[in-house]
Amino acid sequence: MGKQLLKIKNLEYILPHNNQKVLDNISLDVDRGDFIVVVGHNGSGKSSLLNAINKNISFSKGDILFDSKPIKSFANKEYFKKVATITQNLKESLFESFSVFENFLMRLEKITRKADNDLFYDFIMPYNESIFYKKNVMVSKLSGGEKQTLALALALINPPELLLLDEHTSALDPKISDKIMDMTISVMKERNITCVMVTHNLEYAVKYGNKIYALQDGKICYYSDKNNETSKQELLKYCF
Amino acid sequence: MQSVIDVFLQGFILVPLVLGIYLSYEVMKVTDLTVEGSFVLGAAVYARLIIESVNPVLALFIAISSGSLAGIAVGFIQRHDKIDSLIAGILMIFMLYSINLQIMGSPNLTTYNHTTVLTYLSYVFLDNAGFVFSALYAFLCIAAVYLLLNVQLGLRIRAYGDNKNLLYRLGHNPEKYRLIGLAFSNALAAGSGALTCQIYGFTDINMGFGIALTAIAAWLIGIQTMKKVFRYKNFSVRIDCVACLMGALLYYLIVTLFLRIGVNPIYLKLLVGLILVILLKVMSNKNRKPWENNC
Repeated sequence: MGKQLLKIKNLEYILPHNNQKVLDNISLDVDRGDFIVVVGHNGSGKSSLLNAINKNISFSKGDILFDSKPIKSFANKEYFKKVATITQNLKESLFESFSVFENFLMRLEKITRKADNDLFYDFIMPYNESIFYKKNVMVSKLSGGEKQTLALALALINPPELLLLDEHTSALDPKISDKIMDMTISVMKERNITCVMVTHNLEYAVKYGNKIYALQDGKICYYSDKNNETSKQELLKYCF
Repeated sequence: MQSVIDVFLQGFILVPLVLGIYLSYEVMKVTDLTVEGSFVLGAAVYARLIIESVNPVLALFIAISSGSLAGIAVGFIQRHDKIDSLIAGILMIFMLYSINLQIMGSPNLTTYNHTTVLTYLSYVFLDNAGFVFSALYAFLCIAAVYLLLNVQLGLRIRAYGDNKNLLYRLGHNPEKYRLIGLAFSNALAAGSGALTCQIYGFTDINMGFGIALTAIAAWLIGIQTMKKVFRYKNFSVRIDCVACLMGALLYYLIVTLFLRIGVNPIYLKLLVGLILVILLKVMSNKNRKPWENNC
């Protein structure tokens, strides 16, 4: 197992309907254990970058290598076991009309009701006790914080190698948002999961990211790593 | 008393079809009107096979399977949502008309003098065989749908209706579940057609006219009544299955009541439609306006 988990080489993505270049010659490397933060203003190409990694869009030029293999060579089932995504729109991460437990069952390969009750306890309890007791409640009835915690817990049931976070705390109040971020970091470290996070929150970028990229008009306009201290003021120049 | 038995008989015959509509319309969130064609397909295949002296149980199985083939075909037409489900369904009904006519060889077929599954049952239940058979058949279909939606396959069919993208990102092919769901839905419709053919002893090329909307009406009556009675909002397979049964029975109860009070049959569908509109209006959240936030 190599040190490098993900390599993006000269990635280019053009919107098919208006020929607008959304990603322009993007190259970046993600090592195992990295916490990469991508910042930028609206429309800078942050989410498109995650969508490209997540096989949601087919890019026109360049390549994305996962474990030194092009992502296109992976079968979807195999790839999505290795890469999980949590987005700001929780409707994309959870089955809203399902109960909490049914959402949990959807993540399992095979259902064996009795054993799965114990598994549910083991997986959900460490994150949030109240969700455990809302086992049969429909997800749409949960609060924003509970949904986000559940989405995180469910994404980690089959621990992925790479976790993509697309502004996953942006819809939450600052207190809950901090709690979810702390939980994300501690789980990530505990299970040695690599993370790529897209955010507008520069505080999180500076606090948690060991590599920070800023995008502008689809191009990387700023990069900083651990050896190169980043300040919030510095990032502000590129983001807004 | 005979009217009550007739209501139950007609209701039981409609139950598999309502379950089929429930699977596509409510569980998968696909507006599939193909059931209108597969209902006749089931009846046509069954009548043709019975006339050709095929074993009645095998004929019933083939008739139900023909419905699932129609479901798979319409699933392929809808594939990747390139053709709207409503249009795909209408196209399929259109094509099935010719296929059904080809199978039947004439616009109608009678199975009176031939051995059907009902004939076997009539040795035991005599005059009540039709009622017993339709009731058994309805409850078998309810049990099948209940079981289906409680296993992993059913959960994934539900997931298709809830969030196709997430289903895909969990490594499952949504198109596979579209095909399976529509196959089940249309198999139930074909089963309802085959049952109709056995109970009434004939198949007509136009017997499916408006049957999909009848089933949708029955489903809406059933589910709205159950929601009012049990005050539930969550998804519950158990309550939904009971709603399918209740809906089918209530629909024919309403129709029978209208006929009993002397309503001209011409106005029957108009009145049932109006009742449905009133029912939906009364049961919906009276205070909510679409331009206001839910909170």
